Amino acid sequence: MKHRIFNRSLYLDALKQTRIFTVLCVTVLLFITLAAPIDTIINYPARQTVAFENFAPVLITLPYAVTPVLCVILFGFMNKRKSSDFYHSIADNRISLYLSLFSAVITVIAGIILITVIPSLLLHCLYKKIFIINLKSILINIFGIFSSSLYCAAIVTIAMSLTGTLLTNIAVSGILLFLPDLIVAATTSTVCQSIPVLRNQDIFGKYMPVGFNIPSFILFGSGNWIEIFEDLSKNITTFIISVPLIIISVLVFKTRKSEGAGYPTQNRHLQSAFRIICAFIVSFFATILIFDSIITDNVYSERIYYLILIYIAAVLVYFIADLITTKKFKNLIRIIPGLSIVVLLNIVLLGTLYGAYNITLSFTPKADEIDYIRFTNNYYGDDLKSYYTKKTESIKINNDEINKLIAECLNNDINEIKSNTYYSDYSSDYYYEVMPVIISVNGKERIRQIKITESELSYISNELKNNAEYRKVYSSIPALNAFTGITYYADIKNIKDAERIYNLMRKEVSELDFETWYTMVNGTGGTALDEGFTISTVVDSQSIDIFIPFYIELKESTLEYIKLTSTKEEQNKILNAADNIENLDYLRAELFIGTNTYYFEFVPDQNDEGNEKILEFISDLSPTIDLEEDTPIIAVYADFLVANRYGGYWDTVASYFNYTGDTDKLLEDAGYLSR
Amino acid sequence: MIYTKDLSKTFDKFTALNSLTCKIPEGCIYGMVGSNGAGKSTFLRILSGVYKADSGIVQIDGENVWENPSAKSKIAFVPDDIYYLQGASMDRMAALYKSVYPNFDNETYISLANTFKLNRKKNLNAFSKGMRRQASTILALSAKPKYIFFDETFDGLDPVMRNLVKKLICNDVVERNATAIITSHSLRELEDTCDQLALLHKGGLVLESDTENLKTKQFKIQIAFNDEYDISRFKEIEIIKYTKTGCVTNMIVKGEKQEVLSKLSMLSPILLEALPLSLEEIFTYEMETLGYSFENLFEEVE
Repeated sequence: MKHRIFNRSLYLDALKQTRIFTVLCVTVLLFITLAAPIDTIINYPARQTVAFENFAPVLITLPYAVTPVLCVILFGFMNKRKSSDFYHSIADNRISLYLSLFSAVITVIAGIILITVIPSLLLHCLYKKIFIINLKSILINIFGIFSSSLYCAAIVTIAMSLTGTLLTNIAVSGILLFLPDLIVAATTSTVCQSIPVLRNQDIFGKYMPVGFNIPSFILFGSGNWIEIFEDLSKNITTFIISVPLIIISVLVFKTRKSEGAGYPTQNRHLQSAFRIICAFIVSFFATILIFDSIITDNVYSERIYYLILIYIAAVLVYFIADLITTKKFKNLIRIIPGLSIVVLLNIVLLGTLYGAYNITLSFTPKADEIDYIRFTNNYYGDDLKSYYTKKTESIKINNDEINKLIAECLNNDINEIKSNTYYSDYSSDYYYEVMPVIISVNGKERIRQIKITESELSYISNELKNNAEYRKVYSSIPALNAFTGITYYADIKNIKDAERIYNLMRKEVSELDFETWYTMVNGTGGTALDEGFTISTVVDSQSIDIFIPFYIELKESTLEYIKLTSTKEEQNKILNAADNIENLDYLRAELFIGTNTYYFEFVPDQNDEGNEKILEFISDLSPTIDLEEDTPIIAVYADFLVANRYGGYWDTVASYFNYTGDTDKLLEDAGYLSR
Repeated sequence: MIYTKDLSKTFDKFTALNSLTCKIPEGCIYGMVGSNGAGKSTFLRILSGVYKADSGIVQIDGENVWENPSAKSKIAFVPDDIYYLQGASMDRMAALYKSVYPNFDNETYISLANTFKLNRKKNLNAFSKGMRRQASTILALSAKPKYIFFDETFDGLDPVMRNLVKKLICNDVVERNATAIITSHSLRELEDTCDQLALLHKGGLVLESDTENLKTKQFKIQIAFNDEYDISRFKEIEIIKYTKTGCVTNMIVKGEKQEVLSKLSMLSPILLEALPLSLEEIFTYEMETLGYSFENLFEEVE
């Protein structure tokens, strides 16, 4: 018989063993996944973008709930002597046995994903008029879920091979899955709190596998947990890390003894490791408190009480962990010396934290020592500013003045940390922004978060405007191609029109002068409608979404958008009001375009450039709107504060563009009339 | 041929097998008896490749068994505590057996299932203990392995089924020159089936012999003299157990019956009688010499 690595019959039988659970999962997941779009189709048939978070978020349960259960079903034989003996007596080697069963787990996961996703995808495609499918988001998330399932399956099977009861299976799986992340997250969170020039995500690592993320999100994270699989780089890392984990799992399975079934762990050393880890997890938090107390001189009786309480809890956990797994009281005396390892681990942790603290604070380069500086961002949002920051992140700036400024700011921050006054600045009057800066010294890059005041920021911005590479990056918005697409296009009825208007916008951006566009992007200039495009693109292999609003400054594309999304012209009153703006003290206008509302508020100051642009825009609407009889809507309401010698009075004007409905109701709904 | 040398296996601090060496020839039914914890099941599990020996050699036809699918495909193991795949029927188990046993004979399988009147489509977990054991035996025999190991096989079978299984095992061995190892606590089950018998005690093989040889080479002697005497009078006889009540002595002796009787006759006893021993008695006496007896155990409890 040839030395095989896969047993087809065993694999097929494993699939049979999981069929009841699989059918149950598919039924529940498919029901939940289809219920949402069917509800939308029937009850809320408004046009909307469908990304993963509203496509099949329930699939997030696959790695953390479905995969472990599948592993228990198929590898649970290791927990019972007779089943363990049976599998090991089969004329097969252990690698083949493991791979056949593991393949079955992965096949079921893949099957559940496909059976859940395909009908939902078909349904969404069938109702293309309602749903704009962000296929990239869906595919990235599904890849992430599959990778994490692979990762979790490997971890759980390692845990199951090391242990021999369901309780220890679960405990060790939990430790292997979440402990590294928990320790890293808690440590970095503490370190960053104590050393605020460090940024949490830089230590925590953007390439940490997704499998680690759930507890971080729960304990230390921010943001939407449904977006956990959005990051393609993390998904790829998870997938790559799964491969060595599977190999480790095979090796652990290969060395496992069948006679270990039914025993908490395979040997005494593992038993010791288990209770030490359990106790360390608890004592870890007390040690972190001690570290915080040392560097902040913050010692008070309440904290000492908590410290004692946590350490007592750690000792109790140490003994309880042993008692649960061995069920022998006589062991409790024997294991007392093992507590010294827990103490040692805590001392090592404390030393590591203190070492990291001192090393970090010792980094205060002088301006002439800095090779270059790169600016990055604390948070990547879905706006243009984040997009350009991401695009300019790799630009190395070697500017003496900027180097000097950054070196000074960092030095100030370090001194404040040392003197425990860093956070006290919150109460002071001056405004500053905490800016992450990548500083290269002697060819080695370090990221530091530096407090930069408004004037310093303005100075840096002006310096950056002169940088040719920066100017080049800011001269365009992403071009539509295989990796870049429009995932949201407001009320525009079809993607072709959306692409046409986006390309028009792109042309306008390229023709706009750098200064204007730079201020618009950074939120200090320009007037934008609430609506716009969401562009999904890839920057540095990371999938990002950018929301680009319709700017009045980009007139051609904005007017094209208005034309497409409105139908009738009847705007004399508002235009008249706009023409006689001299009589008004204040004007607030609401534009109903399509099903959306846009607000413009301005004080009629003819010298104000922004106000003039709005008025000009409203005036331009009149001749350009292409009317269609059957589809309303533009309705404009305007509140005018008309000045007189008594202080003025409010006047409300409504203008309608092909509005054929109940005007009173519309006005009432808008808050201008009361019955 | 099955060959083991210095085979040892410990579980934590308990020694299950202690330097066990044996050779089991092809085409034989090898019975293995021993006290609880003697190492019978461990021995079979090591032979089947379920457990890895701590030290020593285990070979089947010259091949190591551990992690060797080729050697394992020649072996079918029916354990004392039978396990079937979740929700499996006999047919489903047969499909799995077919994939790992190249000689699996579907006709034999169907024929045996019919003989035992077992429903092949029914969930095995719904079977009674005896039926589960029957199913396991059917699957093992249908696999047509060269070596077939039964651990406490007759446990849970009614007398009719027990005889049927014995017959099937014997036929299999005879027809295919297969080798079977059967372990049991009950010597009565083995004495009419096995060609060879072995006694395992505390992980070691203390006795191994042909069944016929065992039955003829050990017997009970009742002897009396009209003068005072003690055990020294029988120094030429190999005595396993000796009890003297008044002038009558009962002895369990080893050796050629005629030769022993001839030697004893020369001592001019007033009573001399040779009585046959059942295998159970033989092994009980053997175990007593090793310190494993009801009296000893009872004394320990007391």
